[in-house]
Amino acid sequence: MDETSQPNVFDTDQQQLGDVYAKAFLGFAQESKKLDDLVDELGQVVNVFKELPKFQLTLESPRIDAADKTAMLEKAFRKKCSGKMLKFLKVLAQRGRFDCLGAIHNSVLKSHDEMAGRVRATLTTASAIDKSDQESVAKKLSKILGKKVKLDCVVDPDIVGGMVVRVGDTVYDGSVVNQLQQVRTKAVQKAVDAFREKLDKFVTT
Amino acid sequence: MKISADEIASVIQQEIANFESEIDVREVGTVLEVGDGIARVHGLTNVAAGEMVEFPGGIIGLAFNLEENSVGIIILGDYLKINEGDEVKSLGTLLSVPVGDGVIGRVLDPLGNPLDNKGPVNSSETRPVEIIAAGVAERKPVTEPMQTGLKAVDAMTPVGRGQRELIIGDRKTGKTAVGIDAILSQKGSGVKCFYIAVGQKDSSVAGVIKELEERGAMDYTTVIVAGASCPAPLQYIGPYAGTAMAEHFMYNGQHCLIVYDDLSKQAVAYRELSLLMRRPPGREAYPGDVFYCHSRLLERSVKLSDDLGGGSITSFPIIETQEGEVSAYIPTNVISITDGQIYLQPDLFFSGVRPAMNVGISVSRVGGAAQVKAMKNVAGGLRLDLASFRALEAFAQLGTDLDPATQAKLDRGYRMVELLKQNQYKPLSVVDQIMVIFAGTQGFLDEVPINEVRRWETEFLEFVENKKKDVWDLLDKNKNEGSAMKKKDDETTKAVTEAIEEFNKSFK
Repeated sequence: MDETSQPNVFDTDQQQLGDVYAKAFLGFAQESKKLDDLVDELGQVVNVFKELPKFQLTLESPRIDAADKTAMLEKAFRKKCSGKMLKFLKVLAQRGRFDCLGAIHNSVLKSHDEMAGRVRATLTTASAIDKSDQESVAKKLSKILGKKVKLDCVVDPDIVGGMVVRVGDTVYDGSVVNQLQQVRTKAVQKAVDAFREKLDKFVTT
Repeated sequence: MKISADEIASVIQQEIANFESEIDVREVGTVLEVGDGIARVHGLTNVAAGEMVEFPGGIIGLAFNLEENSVGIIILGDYLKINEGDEVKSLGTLLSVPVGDGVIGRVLDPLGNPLDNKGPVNSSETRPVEIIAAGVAERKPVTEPMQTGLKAVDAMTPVGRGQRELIIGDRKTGKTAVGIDAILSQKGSGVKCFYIAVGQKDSSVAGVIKELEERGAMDYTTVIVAGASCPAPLQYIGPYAGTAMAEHFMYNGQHCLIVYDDLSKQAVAYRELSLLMRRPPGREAYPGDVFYCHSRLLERSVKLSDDLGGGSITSFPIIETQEGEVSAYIPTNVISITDGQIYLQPDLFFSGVRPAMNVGISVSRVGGAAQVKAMKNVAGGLRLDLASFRALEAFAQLGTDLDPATQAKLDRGYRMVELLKQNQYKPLSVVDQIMVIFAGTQGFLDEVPINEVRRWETEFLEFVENKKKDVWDLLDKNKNEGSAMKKKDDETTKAVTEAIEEFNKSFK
């Protein structure tokens, strides 16, 4: 699963800040008419920081002067990324919001998808499925949801068979494991009801 | 007795054969943090406040706080089994508990799970734990009496069916005893009783259950236990769950009695939840809606209109005060919500006046209309008499010589106080109460030494039961007549007077 799209752990305060910065970032990107490029670039930058966690920690640290941080960013990213991106990173460093970078990225991706009329869906299957099947699932989903669907595929042998699709907070569960569970609860319930109605049918003395 | 496995297997087989697979659509969220009986969850976009959610392993929670980026959930179960990152599923329903005859005689937890090793609760019906109380059009004034079996209460602060009468007092003043006696006194009256223990020591709850069982009260009583070892969410919903079980009977035209023991502990549990949920603390660190927490609970004690079957829920909420401080936050709240209070005082309790009811400040705001007529005629002036006795008693302590009239008033007062004492677990029928109080107020005890008054009472009631059953029956028949025991020339009054005089001749 793409970890950034479905965070398991996050700080809601940070997410709130992230939303604000993301809005600003997208506005600025739209004005410069390089929306898609800048969003992609942000993803690459975030990946760089993921590989170099110490570098990010340094930029997050309040003990290091903002001027030093800008200098560091200048050295590291000059010519490697666009001037606009660099400006954005500098602003983050100066405002001491580098810790929100992950949250900003999440928010940017979400809003970017929304702007483009796209939704992200997660498809969970018991074993890996090939590209053509993925595409047909995506197509079907697009039809149902009326939006372009960007599919993330996950393999989870625990679901035994079938598939589980998650769009936002809604889960469409057609997995075998879920059906087995349903059979179990229904059968138990039925047995209990039958017991309650006619106990003597089940009891032999 | 054997259970045939084949039969069960065939039922299950049938169920599997008829199973139709459906795609399960559900709304989910992810646990961000968990602890102390609460969880914060990201996602669950469309969840409603008060809706049930399910954690992995079938643990149930309730959506409590809906915030901008997360949902605060109170966990009704073992929160130690929930981990950060777990998926939470919203169930789209409200919390309900099993109701019906199956719950009577059982000891249950607030979710309706049995705690008494007597097997599952045999009930197919459920009711939501939180409902909006019946509105004005669905109600009727309180008119029928709810006998507590306690002379002091039934005579001076009578309780009607559908009333909320607060029992308030310091620790160890006999609050629970009043509630238990009221339950015992319902034997044979068809009233269903609910004892809801919130935040109590499990040992004391076990004692109460044992006592109820031994005295045959569990035949019509349900005990709901959210003990001191239960997590705060369960203590918080305990009273609501018990009320839901009682409402089932009420809406079927029956009468119920609920003892909430006690609501101060519930308020503490609610404070704990609210503080963990970071709701702003108010006075005494209670959240702002702690009043609503109690008012919406007690508003559900209702006397229903005849159209709805005329059922009722009478409740005895209990509040524990600290050092007699009734002006603390929770006591004032509950006093203002209820229709009167029975105030129990430690100094009375330790001087042997039990139930240790302070007559002066105990009131019943609506029960008067519901009081048995004969009792009203007999005990009408009792409160004022006792109040003037208390004033005189204080004055007499100055050691001045008293004129005979004052002395007689004092003597009468001492005997009345003695007469209103009552042993625990010994509720009296209303007819017995009327006769005894009549004897006291009309001066038939003036010749009996003060320390013999209680022996007089026991022996007199035995005498009536053995030799004057006709008088007892007459009073029982006429007790609801407005004229009964009112004037000296009334038929019933005459019969009772004669019986007392006859007994007095033989009393030594």
